[in-house]
This record gives sequence, structure tokens and C-alpha cells, in this order.
Amino acid sequence: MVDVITCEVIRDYMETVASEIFRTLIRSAMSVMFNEAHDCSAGVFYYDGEEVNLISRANSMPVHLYGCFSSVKECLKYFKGDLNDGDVILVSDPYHGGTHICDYTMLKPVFYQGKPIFFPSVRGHFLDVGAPYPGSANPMATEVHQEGFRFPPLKVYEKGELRRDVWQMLVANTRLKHIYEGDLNAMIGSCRVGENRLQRLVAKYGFDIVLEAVHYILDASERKFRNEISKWPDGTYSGQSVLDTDFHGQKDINVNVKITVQGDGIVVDFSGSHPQTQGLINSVPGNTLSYVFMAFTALCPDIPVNSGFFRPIRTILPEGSVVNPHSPAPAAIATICIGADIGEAMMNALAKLAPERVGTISLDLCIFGAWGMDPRYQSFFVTYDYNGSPISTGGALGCDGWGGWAAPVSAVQMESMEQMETKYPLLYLQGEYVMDGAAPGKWRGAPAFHMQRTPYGVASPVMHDIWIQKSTRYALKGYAGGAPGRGNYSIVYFDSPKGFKVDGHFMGPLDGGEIVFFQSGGGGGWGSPLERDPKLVLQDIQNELVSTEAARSEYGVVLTGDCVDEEKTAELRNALKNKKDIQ
Amino acid sequence: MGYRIGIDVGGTFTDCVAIDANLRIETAKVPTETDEAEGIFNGISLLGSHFGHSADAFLSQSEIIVLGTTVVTNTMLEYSGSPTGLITTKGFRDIIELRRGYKESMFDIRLEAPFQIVPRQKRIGVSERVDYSGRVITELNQDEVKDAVRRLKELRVESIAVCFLFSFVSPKHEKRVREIIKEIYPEAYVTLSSELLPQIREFERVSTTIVNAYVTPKLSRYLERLEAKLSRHRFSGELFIMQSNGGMMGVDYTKTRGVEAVLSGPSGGIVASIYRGQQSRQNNLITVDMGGTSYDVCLIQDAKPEIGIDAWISRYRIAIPMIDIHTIGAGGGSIAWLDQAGGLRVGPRSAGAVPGPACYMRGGIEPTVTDADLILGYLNPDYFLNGKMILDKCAAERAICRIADPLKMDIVTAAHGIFKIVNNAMTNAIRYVSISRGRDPRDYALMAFGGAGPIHAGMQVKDLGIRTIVVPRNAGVFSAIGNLVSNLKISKVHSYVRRKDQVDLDEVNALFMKMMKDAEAQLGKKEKVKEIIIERSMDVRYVGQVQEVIVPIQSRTQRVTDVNLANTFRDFHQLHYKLYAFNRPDEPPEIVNLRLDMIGLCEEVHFRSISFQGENPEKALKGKRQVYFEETGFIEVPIYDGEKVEPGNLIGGPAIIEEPWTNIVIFPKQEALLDQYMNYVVEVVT
Repeated sequence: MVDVITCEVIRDYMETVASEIFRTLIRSAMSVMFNEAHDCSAGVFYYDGEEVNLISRANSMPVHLYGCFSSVKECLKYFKGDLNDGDVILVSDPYHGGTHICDYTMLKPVFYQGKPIFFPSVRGHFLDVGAPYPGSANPMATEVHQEGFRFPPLKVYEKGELRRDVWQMLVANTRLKHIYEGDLNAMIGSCRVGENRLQRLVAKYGFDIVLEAVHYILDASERKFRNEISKWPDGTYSGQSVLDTDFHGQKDINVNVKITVQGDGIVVDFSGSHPQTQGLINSVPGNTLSYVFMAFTALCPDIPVNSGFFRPIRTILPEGSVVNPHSPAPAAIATICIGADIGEAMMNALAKLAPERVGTISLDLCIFGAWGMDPRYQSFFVTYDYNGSPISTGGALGCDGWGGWAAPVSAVQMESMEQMETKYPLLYLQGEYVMDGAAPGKWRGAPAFHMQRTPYGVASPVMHDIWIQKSTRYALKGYAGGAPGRGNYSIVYFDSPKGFKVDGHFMGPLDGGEIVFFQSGGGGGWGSPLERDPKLVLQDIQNELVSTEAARSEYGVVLTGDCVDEEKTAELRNALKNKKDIQ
Repeated sequence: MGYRIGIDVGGTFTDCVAIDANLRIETAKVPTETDEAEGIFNGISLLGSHFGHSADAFLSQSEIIVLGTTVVTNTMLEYSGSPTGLITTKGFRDIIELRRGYKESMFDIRLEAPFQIVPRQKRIGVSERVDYSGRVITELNQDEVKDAVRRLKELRVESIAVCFLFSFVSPKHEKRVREIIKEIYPEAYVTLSSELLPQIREFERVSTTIVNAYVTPKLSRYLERLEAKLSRHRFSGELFIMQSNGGMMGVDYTKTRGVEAVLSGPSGGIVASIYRGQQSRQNNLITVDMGGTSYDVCLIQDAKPEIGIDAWISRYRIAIPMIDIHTIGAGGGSIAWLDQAGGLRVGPRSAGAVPGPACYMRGGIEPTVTDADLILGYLNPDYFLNGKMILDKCAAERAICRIADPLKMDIVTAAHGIFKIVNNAMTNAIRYVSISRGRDPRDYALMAFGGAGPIHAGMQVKDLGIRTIVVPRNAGVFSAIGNLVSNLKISKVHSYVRRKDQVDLDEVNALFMKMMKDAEAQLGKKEKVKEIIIERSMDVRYVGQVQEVIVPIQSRTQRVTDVNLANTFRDFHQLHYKLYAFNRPDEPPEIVNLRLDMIGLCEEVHFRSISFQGENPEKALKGKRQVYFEETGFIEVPIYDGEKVEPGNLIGGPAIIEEPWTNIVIFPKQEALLDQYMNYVVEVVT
């Protein structure tokens, strides 16, 4: 039997292989989605001829976590018995595993004793995969066919030979041939790096030992997670979240979940969730499960993530619903719109069984496009700006929300405003937290953020396209008695008589000096604000994050001069608590 | 020529080394005192006595002292800097908290916010705005500035950072703020972002600026205290401070730019590695420094360290050019523990110096790497830290039992497990600086130092296929030696964002000229300087990219010519390919920053070489001990007294060489030679 120390060394090695594949990918890819937004991931899989297991994965956008797993599963289901050394397999169709059509998954079998055993794999967001508009963002889509060219599992290489016909077909379906080919090559190269590293591992320890270690690694994560589950009280816990709109006329799309804990196993049941809709917000199973597992991994950050972790969880995804739509429902933005809600519904339910562990894991991104002519470079520009939507962190036990996006989605680095102004004819007038912007709680959310921006030095107006807005009516949730986030909204022609709040979608020109305003509302609070340490409230007051009025009305904290009046605070808190109890 | 002194103040010991005109070298190691100046003086006194002088006589004959200090790092680690305020553009005061979205952990939703060294109430926005070209859109509102300064004074800040948007293009608003501060609050330290780091990207600039404001007053007061003490004891030479870029600068420079001394401590070790490597004809090195709590890895290519501009120190972004040291939490004090599922883990938590490993008998009960090393026979219980400490093997065994019992293992297997796991983590750290940056570790020699480095290096080379290990003798005062041989170096940067077709060479040359003049002025007295070298480079990227590549400009004149520029862009495409495995030669690049390094080469310090004695090391043999190796189990191996090993001696593995401050483990199939410059060169038999 292989000793646990060797197992630990092999586990560490497998993690390093995944991160090396990932680093190779982001270093060598051509598109910004990979090398800057890091909207990609890498993993190492083990296949016993029947079952596929994730052994290790790189730290990257977690929505790829299960997306990748399910894509690899589908590929191996299709090519079972038809795998050769030197094959490279690709899949993009979200109805063959995965999340949305612009995410491509690639994998390469590594053979031992004549069998395909290990699969280094990469996955990433391609910039243009066909569809009516450049960049493959089609808000009008009512079926997946309008979102891009669907590639079910196919072989790009067979027995080490490039399939020229397949390559030609792939490349014929993008507008950005150069970048697309570059990214495909980067993916192939990264898989080869993984293959090479796995071969070295097996050469060093021998196949049997590595395989035994892999089983140990998977079993250890399973054991750890089962340990955790068995500490949770048996029972059924329900949660819900509602999405504002599907951008196609359907409002209030609910996600319902019932989490049943029984012994050391868990059933996650999404029955009762909204039927699939016409808009592009439908979540295929790979996407839904990514958020399910994101929630559990956030609850147990110390357990190594691999298939063993997933084993204790059984899921029920009602067919024809927003969490498991029938093909060809469109799915392009389900990674955020509905995905975030799946995560929220999960946390909402988990708050009832492990309140001390929960918090915001989601991102309520709003997408702000702008394009026009930049006189400085005499060129046309297009930009998507995250600076208008930078906050989604909520409070958690022992820790106020801080910074920008919630930890599990913090892989993306926002562009500096100075760089934005240098690259595009834009001027920022504001970019800061606001007073009373944080969701109250015993541990408050990150404060809401206000951004104002105007076209600058332009000869002609700049088109603004505000087409996905989330959390305009249903803000990110609070937990364990904490208040919800402040919600998002945007105002165009801000600070002028023409100004109005955008409802759903806006496309229109803004001239130099005309302002667009965004609020990014932040995540929810954790625990009752009436239990917040008054000293922390005072600190927030000093830091101009909480007004003295809000300190009284929301936190029940009364100041005398610059100090907390403990007596009056206790009195007011009692009164507020009673009032709340009556309600 | 008088004495030259190198001093490295570490967490536990202050290391000193001096050389005289006859190339005689003396070293001293004394405990670090709470007041660093105190320990430094003790070290100097001891050095003086080695040369037969009183401290005063020794100091009066000393020409220069080069100091590596950890004050800045510790100030940041402990967040013990001065109360600091920030004056910034109105509407943008939270950039420092937003951090462009960066979080240290992607899993832990309960990761706490970084400690705010400048809390929000001390960050005050004032009306002013300059655009990307330097044009003023909103004039500076001086009344608001006055109110802000008064408010900060009321809040009792000692240090004020000033950082406006686009101040690197037009610094005049920041300069005016300094004048106003001088009028209202003349005692305050002032840091202007446009002087410290005139570089695009507001988050990186403001973070670097406030760190400087936060650490500098404390550092400056300490240096003044030290100077006063030294001059009281008749020192009339020059005091230099090691910088994060691997060079040194005069003490006055450091008194305003504390942030540039953040890696002052480790810098000396890297300089020493380069120096010692060159002696043994190894210009390509991977240096590993394993101390009590951390393992620092740095890659040296062609006798130059990798310089990075993307460091975080104690959760703050510092964008000045620094030696690129990759650190992981693995050291002699790293604690071994069992996770929930019974898996054995090592570190990153460390027992530190207090309580220290269990075998130190200072109250530590948890098993550490040092305890494992002791049980495996790599350490000598009766000779540790130059014989000043006795190690308790029983205590180590008791500690290891805490993991061996639940794992149902015997103590030795568990100890070897700890050894393997920590080695694996360190090997991965070496992979990180080499393989994952496109470099083959087999093209490098491993330079191992730090108390625990040479015990473990022999395992790393096995895992990585590296053929040579270099272990410098005198490794105990290694960084101090680096200080002794370092050169003056100042790194300047200025943003100049232009697409290739918009570059105006006159503007470029004017900026380079300004940087050169500033650098020259800041380099200070140049009596010690033999030759000045100027290296220019540009940060270049493709239009639309977010990250830049630093491309050296090959030019031998003071002016950058059209041809130089064209060649630099050509080099950019090539360098981009080398780093990222692709390029786009048809697409236009753009410049983001101009950089200038001024290096003042000092008189070279030569160490005497010692001619080879015989191959046979038997004079140094001091005994035999049972030592554990994976292939053989416990076997009896010869133990050598490092101080008696002579140049030319060959020591075949398995063997152990006990140096005063470290042990070198020669694994089976390895062979060590002490060369004429007192470096152990361990070759791996393949």
C-alpha cells in the first residue's frame, strides 16, 4: 500500500500540474479573455474507462469548475472506446456539458498500459464564436443556434495528426481567425505541458502508485466533506432567489432550492424553479452545478476540490426549467444572470443549516458597452467597463464586506481609470464608496460604489449600450438577519433635465459632457445590524461610511458627541428589536 | 584605503563583515537588539576587536558602512508605521480599498480586509483634475487643500501622502499641495506620488505612495539615531543602505524613500549570490534562502537578478522595481500538522524563533522541520548555531509522535515524511520561478544558503535534475558580504503613453535626460564611484493589452535615436514571443513607461583566493553518525568540521559537513569540493 506521505506529495504535484497548465494558457493565449480577464481554467482528470474524476484544478473563475467537468464527461461518453494516443478533443456546445457556447473545453488523453487514464484539460471563453454580432453577444437570441456555432465533441487531432478539415471548419466560424487560432493553439500547447508533467510523475513513482494515490486523494476529499455534512443537522432547508428579467419580456424569474441533509449525504433539489424562458438566461446543468459546488466549496474552503468532494451531493434538476433547460434554449449570459441567483438561492438555504459559514459568492455584474470614434487615434473603439459595477462582496461572520467582487469571482482585474482615459475618449468624474451604501448587518456588506463617466474630447457622440443590468429590483441577499445590498441602477444624461433611470436596456448617444451614472450596490450584510459592535459603527461613522441618522435607524446606535452613548444605544436597540419582533 | 563594513540586520542576528586594505576579512554575529542601532554597534565593536581595535579606533579608520535593514519590512508586517494621511483627487479616495478587485484568496469568503494604513477618514479628496495629456480641467482648490491639511493635522497624522490622477503628466497640483503643507504643517513628512513613482495606474501609484509615507518617518528617525551614534564613535565615512533593486544608496536618499528599502535585507543575499556565483563561474543561478519561517527563491540570469514590478508586501501593492523574490512559508520552524482527513501537511505556520522547534527546548511542542532534520541525523544535537545551542532529540521525538501516532507510523518514517513534504513544496517554488516562466532549471546552478538551505538543497536538485549546488562558506554572514560588494543603483521610471506612430523622440530624450539628471543628483557624492553605467528601457505592449514587457534600449549615446527606437520595438516582438510564446509583429505596439537605471560601480572588492590543498579531507573528519537516507535507511556517515575543510578537498556523499551556521548534507551520489573562493560546489553524479 502506498503511504500517505507519497499521496500527499502526489496531490501537491497534481495541483501544481493544473496551475502550470493554467499559467501556460494565460501566458500563451492571444485574446484578452484569457490573458487579462483570466476567464479560463485548467484541470487534470482521471478516467477508469467508465467514470470521470476531477483530480485537481487551477485557481481561476469558479464558474468553470463544474462546467469543465461536465464537458469532459460528455466528451468521454461520446468517444468511449475510440480514444488514441495523440488525440485532442474539443467541445463547445452547452448542451454537451459546459455553461455557455463561448466556453471551449479541450482535453488530451494520456495513455498508460494501453488505456487512456489521465486527461489534462483546459477551458476558456472565446472572443468570437459566430452568431449575428461580433463578440457573440446577442441579446435578441431566443435559441442557442443564434448564440454561436455549436460544436459537439470532436477530435481536432487524431493519433497525433491534425484534422485539417475540422480545423478549417472551426476557423470558418469566427470573425477573429487570427486570435481564435492563437487561442486554440495555446490550449493544445497547455494540454501538452500537462501531458509532459504527468508522464514525469508516472516515470518517477510508477503507474500503480500514482493511481493508488489518486484514489486516496479523491477519497480524502470525500471523507472530509462527509465529516462536515454529518455535523450539520438532518433536515430540509429551502432557499430562493429572484432574477429581475430575462431581457426578453419575462420578469421575476425565481430559482428555488431545497437542500436535504441526511447523515453524511446531501440532496439538492431545484424543483419549483421557474420554467425555462425565451431570453438568454437559461442555465444548463454544467452551469447550475458550478454554482452548487461553488457554494459548498465556499463553506469548506480547506477541503481540496476534486470529484471526491462532489460525491456526497445528489442533485435534482427539473427538466425544462431555468436550471436545466431543453435544447435549444439560449444560455449566453446564464453564467451571471441566473447563475448568481442559483448561488444566492443555495446560500439562502445553507444559511439555515450553517449560518456561520455563509455569505455572498455571486457577482451581479452589469454590462456597460460604449463605442465611437476616438479623435486622438482616428480610430473606432469599443469598450466594456467593469468600473461601473465593481462591488459584490457581502459581510460574513467575523468580517465586513470589503474591496470589489466577492472572493470566488475575484479573478478579474479591473482596468485602471487612468489607463481607460488614455485608451478611450472618456473621463471619470467619480469612482468611490458612498455614505450609507453598505448593507447593514452585524458584519456589513461592502459599501455601494458610485461611478460617473462622460465622453471626453470627442467630435461625435459616443454610443452607450447598457444591456444587462442585474440587481435593479432584487439586490444581493443578506444572511442570518443581515440586510440585502443596496442594488444596482444607472442613470443616463445624469445631472441634466434629460436624465432618467435606465429600465432594463438603454442604447443611445452621449455627447462630450453628458454623464452616465452607475451605482454598484454591493453584497448583503451578515447578522442583525442591531448586534453590530457599536465601536465598529462609530468607526464607520468616522470613516464617513455610515451617517449618524443611519446609525440610529439601522444599527440602533446613539452618539453623544463623538462617543457611543451606551445607555441610549441599549434602549434604542431594545425598542427597535421589539418593533421588529412585532412585525 | 580604510575598512569597509557590511552589516545585515536580521530578525534574530545582526551579521557583520569587514575587509581591510590587505584583503583580510573578519566576521561577527551578534544578537539583534530591539533598537537595531544598538545591535549594529555591538557587531562593529566585535569586528573591531578582531582587528585589534577599539570600536572608536576601528570606526575612525572605516571608509564605508553598507547596511541591510529589515525595519521597513517589519514596519509593514507589524503595521507599526506613522499615522498617515492622504490628499487625493475628489471623488477617488477609495481606490486603495478597491485594489482593482484583487483578493488574496478566491475561496475564503471570510478573508478579512487588509488593515488600512490610511483609514478612510484620513483620506481627503480635494477639487482638482488633470486629463491624460496634462491639461488642467479643474484648477486646484487651494482652500480645500488648506482645510484638508488642517484636518489631518487635527487628526495628528505625522506623514502626508499626496496622489492626484495623472500627476505623472502634470505634477504641479501635487507640488502646490506640498507648499501649502509646508506653510500650515511644516513638521509633516510629505510624499508626492509624482516624485516617488511618476507612473500611470492610480491604484499602484497611490498604494506605493502611502506605503512610503507610512514607513519613512520611522526609518528616517532610526537612521538618524544610528548616524549620531556612529559619529559619536568617530565614524566619518559614508553610510549606505541596501535597496530593493539590488543596489545601495546613500543614507540621505533612504530618509525620504523608505519604500525602496523594503527588500533591503534580502537584497544583500542576492548580490552575494551573484558575486560568489561569478567566482565559481556560475552566472545562471537559482538562489534559495531557507530560514526559520520562509523559503525565498530568486532566479539569476547572466549574473543579473530578475527584477519585478508587481510585488505585494503585507497586503500592499508596491510598484517600484524590486528584486523578484518568490517566497513560500517553508522553513526550519514550519509546523507539521494533520488535516481533518488525516493528511500530513507542513507549514505555512511556523514556530519561529520563540518558542521555536520542540528540540530548542523553549516551550515549543509542535513538530517542525528542524525536529525532523534532527531525528534524521542531518543536525548535530551537540553542535548547533556555532555550538551555542544544544538540541534535545527526545523533545523532537515527542513532538513528532504527535503526528506519527495518529498516522500509525514510526517516528523516523513520520520525520522523513515531513522532510519529503517540505522538500516538495520548495521544489514547486523553484519550478514556479523557472519552468512556469519558460526556463529549464537544469540550465542553472542552485545556490543554497540560510540556516536550513544546504540541508535540503541536495533533495531539490534530485527532483529537478539540477547538476550543481553551490554553498557559500561564511554563509552565516552571507548577506552582509553582499552588502560589502554592492554598487550604487537608482531606478527611475516615468510614464510616457504613446502609440508607436505618435512617439516624439525629442520628448522621449527630454524625459530620459530629466531622469538622468535627477538620478545623478540623488546618487550623491561620487567619490567611491569608479564608473557610471546607465541602462534605459521601455515598458511596451500591444495596443489593447493590459500588461507590458520591459524592453532594454540598446543605445550607446545619451540620445535615443530613430534607429535605437526601431530596434527596441523589434526586440519587443522577440521578447514577447520568448515570454508568451506568441507575438503579433503586424500590430502596432505602444510605449507605457520609460525606465532608467543608473548604476555607480564602486571599487571592486577582491577576496583572496586560496590555492588548492590535497583532495583528502581527513583532517576535517570529526566523527561518524547515523544518518537517514531514503535509499539506504539509517547508515553511518562521516561528519566533517567545515572550518577545517581546505580548498581542494573532495567529500563524497553520503556525508555531512558541519559549518558554524549551517549543515551541508551531501546525499548519496553527490560529491562536494571546496573551491579556492570558499564555495562548496556539490556536483550530482548522474
